[in-house]
Amino acid sequence: MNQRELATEWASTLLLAVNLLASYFLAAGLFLPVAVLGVAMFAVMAALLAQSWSNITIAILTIGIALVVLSSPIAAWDARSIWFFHAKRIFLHGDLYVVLDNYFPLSHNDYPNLVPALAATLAHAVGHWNEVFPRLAIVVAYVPALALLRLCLPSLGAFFALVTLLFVIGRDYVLNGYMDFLIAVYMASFLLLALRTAVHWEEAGTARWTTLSLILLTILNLKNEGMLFYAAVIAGGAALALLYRKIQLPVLAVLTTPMVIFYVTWLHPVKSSSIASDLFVDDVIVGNVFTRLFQRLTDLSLLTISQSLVIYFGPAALLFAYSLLRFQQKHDANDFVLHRGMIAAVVTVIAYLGGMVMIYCVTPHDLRWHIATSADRTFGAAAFVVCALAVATLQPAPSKD
Amino acid sequence: MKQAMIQASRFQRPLFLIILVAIWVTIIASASRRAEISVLRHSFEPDYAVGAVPAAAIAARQLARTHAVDRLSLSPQIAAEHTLNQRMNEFLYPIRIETGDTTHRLRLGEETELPPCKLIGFKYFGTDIIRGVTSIVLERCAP
Repeated sequence: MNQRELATEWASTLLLAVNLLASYFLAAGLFLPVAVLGVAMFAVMAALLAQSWSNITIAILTIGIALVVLSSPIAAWDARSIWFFHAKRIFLHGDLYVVLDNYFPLSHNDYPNLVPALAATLAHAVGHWNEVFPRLAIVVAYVPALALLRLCLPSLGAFFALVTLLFVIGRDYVLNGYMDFLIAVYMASFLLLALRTAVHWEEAGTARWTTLSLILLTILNLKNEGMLFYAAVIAGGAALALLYRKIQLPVLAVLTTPMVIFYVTWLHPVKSSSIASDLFVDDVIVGNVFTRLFQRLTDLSLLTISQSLVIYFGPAALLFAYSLLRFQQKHDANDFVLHRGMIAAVVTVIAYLGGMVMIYCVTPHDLRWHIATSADRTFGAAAFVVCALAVATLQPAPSKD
Repeated sequence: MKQAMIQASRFQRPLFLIILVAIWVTIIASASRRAEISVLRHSFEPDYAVGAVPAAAIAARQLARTHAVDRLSLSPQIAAEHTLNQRMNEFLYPIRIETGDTTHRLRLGEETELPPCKLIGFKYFGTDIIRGVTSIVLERCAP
């Protein structure tokens, strides 16, 4: 990694930290000055341009995304009733934890609130709430993950091929205020950066461990699926430890620190407020979690879930399989280090998908309704992550200087 | 054979670019179909809401603000309409929507007034193709 790439990594890490800070400021009842966000955004763009002038296309893409986001109404159900409703409440009360009064329970008050906190911070900067300007939070949240993806992909063409796949798979969900594809971009950037670290172990250092920890902490703070991804990463990390037959202390720190911070700042307050996820409802009509799990594992529900999995995840899996075959043909000597990293990444994706299938198995809602209203974005997000792995694998390996 | 492969690889890159550009044209066209650039003028306007908020919710908020109401309940018909119920909850906030007995209640103009609630204000919000002319009514249900 050269100095310019390192600058992009540090700038992205700075923006990740500032985004999280906006949320933690609100946890303390304070608003982060919006100028800090502006400076961090500028630093990312400047670092990308210093890396290569052709990266100006990423700045143009960001402006285009901002125009689309700002000029489209918040019409999608979750965007209105969960994310931007939480943002409005956080802004009006100046407190991240205001949602823990569980007002309007349909808005899933147990969900973490990173993007709502960013939206509230932007609203505070202009002094009032409306349904236009605070939406810029979506763009602010995307920028560091996209910059990190660019860092992990050796060519601008590969980056734009991946962004194209993001819009093809994610369609409206990418910018309509849903969190699914935002979290997918972060999951992809985490896996690609972790993979790059496994291949170029000499790059491992304070900067890299900080970046990986902050990406993981961001993922945890974006949506509940973040916890599922975290569990999947633990599975991937365990696979890596088995393959190397040793545990690296920095890796252990990257895996544990984000969860400790997330538990203290969000999970514990939620638990203390006695707010539970709607998935774990336990009553006479829908039974408890285990009853539902047993019932769905023994009837034909798994077939319904598998059908969606094939539709929304199948094509990406095929692309990934093709990329692995191409890689195998190009590298006769087998770059075993990359293979071990890739095995861990594949274990992570499989564990994530397994967890997602389990969630559908325990849902208290009608399974067909739940699948019809969410499978395209949940399995689609995993499909994008696998596409990112495929695009990275199809590229020539980054040089070691 | 080798010549044919070189020939094929010469076409690979432009073909890839053409496909990429075609996809991006579709993405941009699709995004611009939903986007309303004129909305950008209202970026810094307090309380500005676009498109997705029903006229009934906008009228209800004006009514509740005029009568300085800070918490109210919804009539059975509004509560039963999922989208309207959800929009009332999030758009009216910080006016809180509560279930059960409250001093104030919102109902649609076409719903019957039920004692002990008495009309204290109403607002027309337009013509509905099914209901005809429609209004929202604010009632006081307690002394």
